[in-house]
This record gives sequence, C-alpha cells and structure tokens, in this order.
Amino acid sequence: MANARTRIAGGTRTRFSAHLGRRLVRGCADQLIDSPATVVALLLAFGFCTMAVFAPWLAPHDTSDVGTLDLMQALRPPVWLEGGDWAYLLGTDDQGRDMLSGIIFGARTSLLVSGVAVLLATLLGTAVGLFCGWVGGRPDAVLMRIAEVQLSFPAILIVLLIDGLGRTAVSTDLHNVAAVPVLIIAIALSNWVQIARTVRGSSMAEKNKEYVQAARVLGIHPAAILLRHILPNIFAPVLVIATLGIAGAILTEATLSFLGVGVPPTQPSLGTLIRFGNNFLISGEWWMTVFPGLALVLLALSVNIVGDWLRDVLNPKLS
Amino acid sequence: MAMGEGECTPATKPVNRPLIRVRDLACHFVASPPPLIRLLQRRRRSLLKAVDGVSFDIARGTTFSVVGESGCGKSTIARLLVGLLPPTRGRIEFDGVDITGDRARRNARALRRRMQIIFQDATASLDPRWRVSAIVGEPIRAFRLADGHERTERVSTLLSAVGLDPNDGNRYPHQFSSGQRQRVSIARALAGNPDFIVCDEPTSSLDVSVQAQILNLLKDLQTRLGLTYLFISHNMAVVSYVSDEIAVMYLGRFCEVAATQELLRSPRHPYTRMLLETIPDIDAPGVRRPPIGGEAPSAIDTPSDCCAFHPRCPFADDRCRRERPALRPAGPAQVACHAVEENRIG
Amino acid sequence: MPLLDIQHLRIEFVQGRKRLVALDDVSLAIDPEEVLGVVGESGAGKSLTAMSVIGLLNPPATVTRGQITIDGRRSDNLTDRQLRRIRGKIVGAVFQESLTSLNPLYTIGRQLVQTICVHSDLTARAARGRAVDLLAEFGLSTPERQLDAYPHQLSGGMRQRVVIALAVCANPRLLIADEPTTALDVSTQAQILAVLRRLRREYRTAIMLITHDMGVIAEMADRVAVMYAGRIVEDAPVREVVAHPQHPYTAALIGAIPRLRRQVGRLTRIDGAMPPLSALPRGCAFHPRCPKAFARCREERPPMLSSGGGRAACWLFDGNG
Repeated sequence: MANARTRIAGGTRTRFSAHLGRRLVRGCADQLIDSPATVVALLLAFGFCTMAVFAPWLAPHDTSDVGTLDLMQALRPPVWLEGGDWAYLLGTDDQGRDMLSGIIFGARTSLLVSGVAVLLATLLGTAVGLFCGWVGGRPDAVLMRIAEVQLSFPAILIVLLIDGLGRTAVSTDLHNVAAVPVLIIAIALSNWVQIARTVRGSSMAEKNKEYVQAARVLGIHPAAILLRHILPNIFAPVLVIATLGIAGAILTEATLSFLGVGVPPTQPSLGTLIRFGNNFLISGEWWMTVFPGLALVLLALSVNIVGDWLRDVLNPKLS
Repeated sequence: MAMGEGECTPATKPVNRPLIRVRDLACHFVASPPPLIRLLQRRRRSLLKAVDGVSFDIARGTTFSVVGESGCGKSTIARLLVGLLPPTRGRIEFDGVDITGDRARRNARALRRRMQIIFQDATASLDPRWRVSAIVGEPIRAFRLADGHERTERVSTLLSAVGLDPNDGNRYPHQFSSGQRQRVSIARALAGNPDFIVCDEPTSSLDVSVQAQILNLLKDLQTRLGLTYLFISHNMAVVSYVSDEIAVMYLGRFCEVAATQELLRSPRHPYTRMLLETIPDIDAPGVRRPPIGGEAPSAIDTPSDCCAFHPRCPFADDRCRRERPALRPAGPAQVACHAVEENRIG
Repeated sequence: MPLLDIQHLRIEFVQGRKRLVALDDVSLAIDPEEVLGVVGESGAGKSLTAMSVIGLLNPPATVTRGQITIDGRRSDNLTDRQLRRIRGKIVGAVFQESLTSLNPLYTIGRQLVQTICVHSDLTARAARGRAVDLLAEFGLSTPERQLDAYPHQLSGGMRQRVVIALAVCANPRLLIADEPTTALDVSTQAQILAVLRRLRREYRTAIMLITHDMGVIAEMADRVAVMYAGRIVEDAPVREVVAHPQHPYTAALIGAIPRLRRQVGRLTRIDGAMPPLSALPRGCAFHPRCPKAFARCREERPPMLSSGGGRAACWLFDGNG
C-alpha cells in the first residue's frame, strides 16, 4: 500500500524518467552485444564530457594563464618526435601553449556552447511546438511561417549578421565578453525550428487521442495536459533530435570560430585552435591543426552515433 | 424554465426534472478549403452538418441511446455534451443549468465533475506512460476530492468496483487485455463521482464475451450508483439491451425517438424499420433479408429542404423531396416522417 | 468427397527460443456448395486457419502437423508456383480491409481486367466486359463509370464488392471470406451478404465465412465451427448451435450476445478472457472459465466427441456416444 502511495505522490516525472531509464538500460545491454561501434562512441562521448567538466584539473597546463607561458617551449612537436617533451604530450603552439591542454579546454568550450545552445533551442522549440500543436489555427500558421523563414537562414549567416552589427556597435572588450552568448543564441536560433516542427506534429497527433480528450473532460488545465500527458509521450524524438543537434552545433561552433567570428581568440575552442594551427600547416607544424581537428571529428562523430543509438532505443516499434 | 433558476446550485431540485435537457443542438464544421484556395478553385463554402438540430431529455437514472450508422453524427453528440466540441447552435442544460454559451462557461466548470465520458478505444484513452493507479487517481486529484492515503484507498475501491484487482494499479495500460483496459477507463470515469456518463461505443472494439461483461458492469453500476447514461452505438442489439429510450439518427438528425420496447415492437420511421429488418439475427437462422439499395449520402452540404432519407426511402413522395419533416408525436413515439404523419405506411 | 478437407492441422510460431502452438488439431471439412461459418473471439485462430488454406502463412508461423486437401489434392506441401494456380482458380479470398486489398495507384477497372486476364484467355476488351457484368451483378449502380474510379473514391461497401469481384472472377469453387462485413454499416453489410448468397446460388461456390458475428453466421451458414484458443470446440449445423449449443463455451458465447427479438434481463457472464497462446492451461483450454468444469477437464484435453446434432470437444459428452 505504502509503495503504491509513493508512486502516486511521486508524480509523472519520476515515473516517466524511470520508464525512460529502463528503456535506456535495456538498450545499452542490447547494443553491447550488437554493435561495438556504439559502445566506443558512448565511451568517447562520455570521456569528452568528463574531460570538459573536469578540464581545470585534468589539463596539464592552464593555457589561459599568460604568466605560465614560456616562449622557449614554442612549436615543440609531440612527445614521440624528435624534440618532444613529456610535459607537452601533443606538442605546443607558436606561443608555447600546450596542445593537449588547449584541446581539453577547447572541447570544454565547444561542448558548453553547443550544449547550452541546443538546450535553449529545445526549450524554445518544445514550447513553440506544443503551443502551435495545441492551439492550432491562426497563431499556429503565423508561428510556423516565421519558423520556415528562420529555417532558410543558416546559423553562420545569423552569427555573421549579429557579429557584424556587434562589431560596429560596441567596443572590442564588450564584444569579446558578448561573443560566446551571441554564438550560443545564434546556434540556438538555427536549431529550434526543427524541434518545434517535430513537437508540433507529434503533439497534434497526441492531442486527438482519447486519453487527452479524457483529461480535457476532467477539466484539467491545458498546461497540465501538455506537460503531464503530451510532453512525456512525444519526448523521445525530441531527445534524439536534440542529441543530433549537439553534434551539428559543435561543428557550427568550430566553423564560426575557424572563420574568426566565434569565440574570442583568448578563449580556446577547437575551431580557434584549428584556425591558428592552419597558418603553420605549410611550415611543417602539423600537430597544431591535426590534433584539434581529430578531436573535433571524434567528438562530433561520437555524439552523432549516440543520437542514432537513442533513436533506435527510444523507438517503441523497434524495441 | 427560467434562466435565473439555473444560476444557483440546485439544492431544491425537483426530482422529476430531467438531468439532461438538449434543445435544437447543432454542430457544423467547415468542410471546404481556406477562402483563398476556395476562390482559386471556384468552389463554394461547404458545411458538414454533423449534428443539425436535435432535442432530447434524459431522465435521472435512465439510459438514453443514440443509434445510427457511421457518419450520422452520434459521436459528435457525445463530444458536444461533455464539452469537447462547442455547439454551433442550441442549448444543453445539465441539472437545470445551461452549460452552453460564453456566459455559462463559468458555471459549467463546476458541473464538469458530474459528467464523464467513456470512449470506444480503451487503448487510446489511457495515457500509455501512466500507471493505472495514476490514471484512475487523476480525476480525484483534479477535483481535489482526496489526498494521500485517502486517494490510494479510493483508487483501490474504484478498481474493485469495476472488477479489477486493486494491485493492478501498479501496472501500465499495455499490460492489460482490452476488456480490462475498458474497465480502467470506466473506473476513471467514476472517480469524480459523476451523475452522468456518456458512453461512446464503449464495447464496439471488444469481443462478444467481454462486451457482455462490460455491458453488465455498466448496468450494475447504474443501479448501484443511480447513474444516468447517454449511450452511443451502431449496434441496435447492444442498444436495446441497455437503454430505456432510443433515438435513431440519420445524417445529423433524429428520425425516431421512442421507448426501447416500443421501438423494437413497432418501429415507425422507414429508416428504423430498415435497420431492424437488415440486422442479421441469431434467432432467425437462414432468413433472407432484402438489402436496401443505395449508399448513405455524406453529411456535407445536405439540403435542408427535403427529408434526408428520401433517396433511399420506398415511401418517398413529392412532399418528402420538398419539405424537411420535423420530429412529431406518433402514438407513444416521436417520428420525423411525412409518410408516418399522413398514414401512408401500412 | 469434401471440397476442402483439413486434417489435424497444427501451426506453430517460433518466437525467440519459445514455440507457441497457435493452432492445434484443427480438422474441418467443407462440402461443395456448402457455407461453413467459422466463429470465435479475436485470437482464437480463425484467420490463421484461413491463411493456411490459401497458403499465405507468413514465416514465423509454420504448419508442423496435419494436412490440407483441396479438391482432392494436398495443398500444404505445394510450391509457390503450384499454389498460385490454386489461388483464384480453386480458392478465392476476401479480407476485412477492403482499402488495403486494392492497389491505391490503379483504377479498379485495371485491377479487375488484369486479374481476369491472368485466369482466362479473354482479351482485355472482353475482360473489361466481364468486369462490368460482375460489378452489375453485385449491385453496383453504374459499373462502367466505377471501373475508372480509384479505390479511395469508392465507399467501403462498394470497395468490398469490388474485392469480392476480384476474388471470384475466375470462378473459384471455394471462397474464403475473412470478416468481410466487420468494418461496414448494417445496411452495407446486408448488401455484401446478398452478394455472397448470390455467389452460392448462381455459381455454386462454397464459402468459408469467418466472422465474430453470430448473427451473420446464423443467417448465412449451413454449419458452424466454433473456435477457442487455437482449437475447434464445436462443429455442428447452424440451427443446432443456435438453439442447443453443446459446448459450454458456445453456450456462454450465445448467451452473451444481446438479442433484438428476445430481450433478456442479463447477458450470460463468462469471466476472464481467452488465455494468450503463451499461457494455455493444461487440459481443456476453456476449463478456467467453464462453469461445468470437473477434475478431468483440468488434466486431459478433450477430443471432438459427438453430441447433439454435431460434435463438441468437451468431456461432458464422453461415453454418450
């Protein structure tokens, strides 16, 4: 009896997440047997996340502290080449900064920017999608037309636009401070539409199911119906799109940083590292661009595979 | 009945007042594309008149059934009564209180608890991600009827009342058979202590033996709790088993309303006769029934200046093609037919 | 000699490491020009029986025992090629979903003409004429015009008549009709039943009519086979079954049907539901729900025993010969 009571009192969220958790665990077990690539990707993605979170403790050098820089150590090759140093496993750049530390901090920035951006996009997209799906009619038509216009502008264009305006409007200092939020907003703006459309479509389908109508007859507030009934039932595809969106966002961030309109040069990101390294590629210091590039590829790829895996696991028709 | 009376809570309700009183209820849907496209395609605005002016009363503790073929608008009536659809016209009174119209919406909220609905598809009517105890407990929480331990108790009582094990509350809907799922939705409908339940084809997707269980359950609950039912079905035999009064519906309108025995013993409207004659009957094996010609026309743009049934009616004459018959008393029944009125049918 | 003879048919599903027995010891016979009703609740194995007759069982389901003889020839061990010759010519089939039984991309005329040409030497022109005749015979008002329509443009009843026309255009000797009227309204159902009756009267087609509607069976069939949990529990002339059902399940089933002309205070209650294939009880599959069950029912599975005017699989009739 007591057990049943806690279950009721626990509300939808715990039950929903428990359900999702069971599906994920079962999915994990299946995948371990079926596809080693997915396991590797899961481990990699997990590793990158751990690295990003614990970067200040994991990185051998603090690349942001200018005081520790030693120009004598500049352009050192990786440890296994002649002239390598155990203190700088993957070599150093032209300023004497440790590449490994740069990549660790760079991955942190990349994951932070793309993670927050996709989170924002998911929140906005889900809210708009649920609203449009529920209300329908004219508000839905207007919002969806806006979304379609938005969809026709790629993230890069939006960032360039905002960045261009920002450069002329504010001072360089302020611009550097605002660079990351601008980047996040731009990436978020380019991602919410897809989520909104998915959520809208699924919630329109759910809305007409009898369990939603039964809740309406009970006089449950529409917001509660949306959050408790519809959202849990359409959340799986959103999770998948969001995860796949992170992979895309990481690449967008890197592209923009590579072009010099992303994060400021003082803050390493995988994109900026590749950009700086690019100048030295011809002169033979390949490690400056290859290692960050490799990290970028691995990160994006593993997140992508995790997204695909989520789609399979959460698809009730497959499981 | 004066409007003012409905405003106050009916503490001094006269017992003989019908619980449900529906007058000239209509629900039309726009069936044509948006104006711009319509203009380009040079099409006229077309209306789907799902329900087009029906009136009826349901007495307390009785079952009123609406029977008809698919697309006649019977499910729309169900949805109109519980407020899932706004009526285009007409008025619905619940226990003397008008629950249609903007002014009445506020009143209606308090009355919602007292009217519930059971749907045909029990699978779709239960949230697949909720445990049964939460599903049945939802109305109790929504109407703030009980909390904590008391709520758990109530859920258990409800589950037992519909013939389920109280321990079943911990399971998810997909772990039940379709008959058990329908029991769960009945338990949910009962959770708010309603007076009135709309049953929209509650047994149409069930097997015969399970259908009998559910029909018996609904009857038992009615006797025990004094419930009033609006029962919607396409199955005349099912309807005849549960109802006190039956309305036969064709293309958005009632063509005959009568007490169950009266309707079965002496159907008056040609459509009712046709329905009763064509139903295969296990009590008359090997009987060859003459099929009725023609197809049921669609409810889109039905003309309002003739009897909707006249193209299929063997008794149709000029008047039927010119004038729409209204529901008029014919003996103990009410029939909407010129031929019945003029005594043209033998 | 019966037209269709099914002997001790057993069909199993392999599900992972488990083997589920979906159909066991099913024996049926249909004489020429006879209408056999097969009735039962969903999951009883009615459709599976039909599918095995026309050789349309899908891989996880396989016939593991028994044999099917159509028109004197074994059909359960035929190759696809030989089966195709039987389908259409000797056995035709109609299913519940008329919309999915027709190809949505082609007009019904094209589908009819094509099928008629496959089974006969007619030219396309003559085949079209035959298609028109068939549809007219089945009560479609303007057959020439309907031939140019696409399936979705027709109503459910009209579509079902087209599907029947497709199934019988090669004059099969046996028509398998699996829930042909379930999705239809009463008035349309009457039209379809009239078509089936006409087939039998004028083309001498035997029909295996599968439905859960006892009323339809009573009106159409000569004999009924009642199925429960993958077995036949009663096989008797229709009048016998309706008036004096022998097996307790049949009796309960008939008592559970609301009647129009015989109002009852209460419908017979059978508690519980048909057990899933994965949890069939020992002994008689019906014993947990049976009001007359005794010790032997829980232990041994009853064979078909003669009783009343037919046969029933119930120990109650053991020894009364």
